Amino acid sequence: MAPQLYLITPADPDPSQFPRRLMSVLTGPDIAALLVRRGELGDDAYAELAERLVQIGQAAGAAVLVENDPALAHTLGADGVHISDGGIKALREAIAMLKPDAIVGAGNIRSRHDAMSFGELDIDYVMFGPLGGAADPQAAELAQWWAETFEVPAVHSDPQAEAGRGDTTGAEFLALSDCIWQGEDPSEALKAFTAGAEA
Amino acid sequence: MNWRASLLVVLLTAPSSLALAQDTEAESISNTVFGASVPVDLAFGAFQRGYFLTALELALPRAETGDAAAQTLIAELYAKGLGVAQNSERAAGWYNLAARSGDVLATFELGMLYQDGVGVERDRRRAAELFREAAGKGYIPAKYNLALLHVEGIYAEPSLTRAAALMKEAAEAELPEAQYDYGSMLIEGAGVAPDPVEGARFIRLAAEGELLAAQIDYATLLYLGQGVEKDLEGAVRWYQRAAEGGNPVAQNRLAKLVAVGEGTPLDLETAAMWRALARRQGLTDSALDRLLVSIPPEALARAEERARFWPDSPPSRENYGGMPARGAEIIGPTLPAPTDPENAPSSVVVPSETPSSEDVVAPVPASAGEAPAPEAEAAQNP
Repeated sequence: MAPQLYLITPADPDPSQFPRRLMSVLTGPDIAALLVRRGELGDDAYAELAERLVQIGQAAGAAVLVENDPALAHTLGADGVHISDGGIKALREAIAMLKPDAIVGAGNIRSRHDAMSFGELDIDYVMFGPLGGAADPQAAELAQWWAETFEVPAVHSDPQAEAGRGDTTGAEFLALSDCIWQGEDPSEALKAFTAGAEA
Repeated sequence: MNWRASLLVVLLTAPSSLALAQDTEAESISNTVFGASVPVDLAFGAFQRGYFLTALELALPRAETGDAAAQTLIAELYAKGLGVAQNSERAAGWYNLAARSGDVLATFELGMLYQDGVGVERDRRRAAELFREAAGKGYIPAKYNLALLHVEGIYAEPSLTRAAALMKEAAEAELPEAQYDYGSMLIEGAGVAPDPVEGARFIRLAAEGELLAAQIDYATLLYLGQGVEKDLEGAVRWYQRAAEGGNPVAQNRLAKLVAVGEGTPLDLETAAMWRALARRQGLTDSALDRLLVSIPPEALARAEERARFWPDSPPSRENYGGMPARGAEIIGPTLPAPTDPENAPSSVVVPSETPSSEDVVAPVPASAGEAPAPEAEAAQNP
C-alpha cells in the first residue's frame, strides 16, 4: 500500500509569492496533511503566514497543521498541531487543549524510548526524520520498525526523497519538504511522487 | 612532624599498591588459565540481582545504539513488568529491535507475541517466520513450536516428517513437552517409523519432567504393557502422581484401580474420595459409579469429608490442637469495653483535680497466677 502524502512547507517562504505557489501545488495530487513550518519566523509573522495557509490548505481538502502552538491552531481553526519541541509535557498540553477535535502529532524523535513514550499518549502519528535539510539515515529504519510494531501511524519524513524510489518503510505517511520546493516547478515534483506510487 | 606525615603516607599507600600488584598478578594467572576475561555486563548483573530500574537505566543508552542484548533485557522488563508497569506494546517494540539485530531469544519471544496477539496485532504468519528464524539458530523452544506448525500445516508446509525431525531435536534437548509429543509420534508412527519401546521411553522422560499428560499416558502404557513391561504397581504410582497434581482424568482412573484393587490394596473409601475430586472438576464416569455401588453410606460420607479437605486431612481429635476451648477461665481483670460510655473521657479535664482512689483503674496484678485483690474483683463484677 502506497503511503499517503504529508507535505511540509519550506523553512523561509517568500510571504508574497508562496501562497500562490502552494495553491498551484494543491491543485495536483491529493495531500492528506499540510504542515506549516515555523522555521526562523517570529510569533507574529508565523501566525500571519499560518492564517493564510490554513485557508488555502483547507480549501484544497488537506488537514492543515501548525507547529508547536496548540493555542494558535485553536484560534486559526487549523486541523491540528505538530509538536517538535518540548517533549512529553508539550504533547500532553496539546492533547488536553485540542483532542478529540483536532490532530496532535509528535516529531523530533531522539530515541526509541522517546518514541514509545510519545506513542502511549493519545496522539495521531509519530514522525521520524527531520522537517527539512539533510535526510536522517536512521529515520527509515525507525519508521519501518514503528510501522511494523505499533498501532499509532508512522510518518516517514525524507526531505531528500526521490520520486522514482518509492517508500519501502511501510509507514502510513510519507512527508515531503525540500525535495518539492527546491526545483522550479513544485507541482510537477509532487505529481512525480504520486505517479511513482501508482506505477 | 614532617617525617611522621611521610611515614603515614607510606603506610597508607603501601598496602594498596601491594594489593594492586597482587590483583594484576592474579588477573594474569587467571587470564592464562581461563582465557581473557569477558567484560562484565553491568545491566545484566543488576537484572540478576533484582535491581530492575538500575538495569533499565544502564541498558537504555546501549539499547538506543543498537545493542541487542540490552534491547532484549529491556523487553523482558516490560514484558514481565519488572520494576516498571507491565507493557506488552513496549516489550514488542524492544523485542522487534533486538530481533532485527539477530537476538535469538528476542526473535522467539516476539514470535510468541504475534502468535497470541499480545501487544501487537495477532499475525500467525509472522509468528511462524520468527519461529523458523529462531529455530534455524538452534533455539530449542522455537524448534518445538515450528514442529507444531508443521503438524498443523497452515503456516508451515504440512509435513509430519519435518515435524518429527524437529520434535526429536527438541526432545533430545530435554524439553518435556517435546519429549511427550515425540514419544506419542513414535508410538503412532507419525512422521517416523513406529517404535513403541522408544516412544514409551520418551513419554517416561516427559513424565519425570512433571508433565501431567505424560504421567497419565505413561501410567496407561504401564497398565497395558505397551512398549514397556506390564507393571500395575507402576501404573498406580504414576496415576497417583498425576492425581495428586490435580488432574481429574488421573483421579478417575486411580479411583477405578483402587476400587477393584489392581496394583494397590482395595479401598472403596479412598476410591470414592478420588471420584469426588474428579467429579468436582466435572468428570463423571458411570463405570466407576458401578464399581462403587456397594460402598457403605458411612464410608461414602467419610470419603466426601476427606475430599472436602483434600489435600489436607479432615480435622479430627488427633490433629485438632490450637484453638482454645470456649468459656476458658479469664486470668486477671477484664479489660473495659471500648464502647462503654463510662470509659469516655469527660468533656472537661481539670488537671489540678487529683483523681480519688476509686477512680483509678485497678492495675493488672504483677503476678497473674495469684488471686486478684478483693476490691479489684468487686470492681470487675458489678
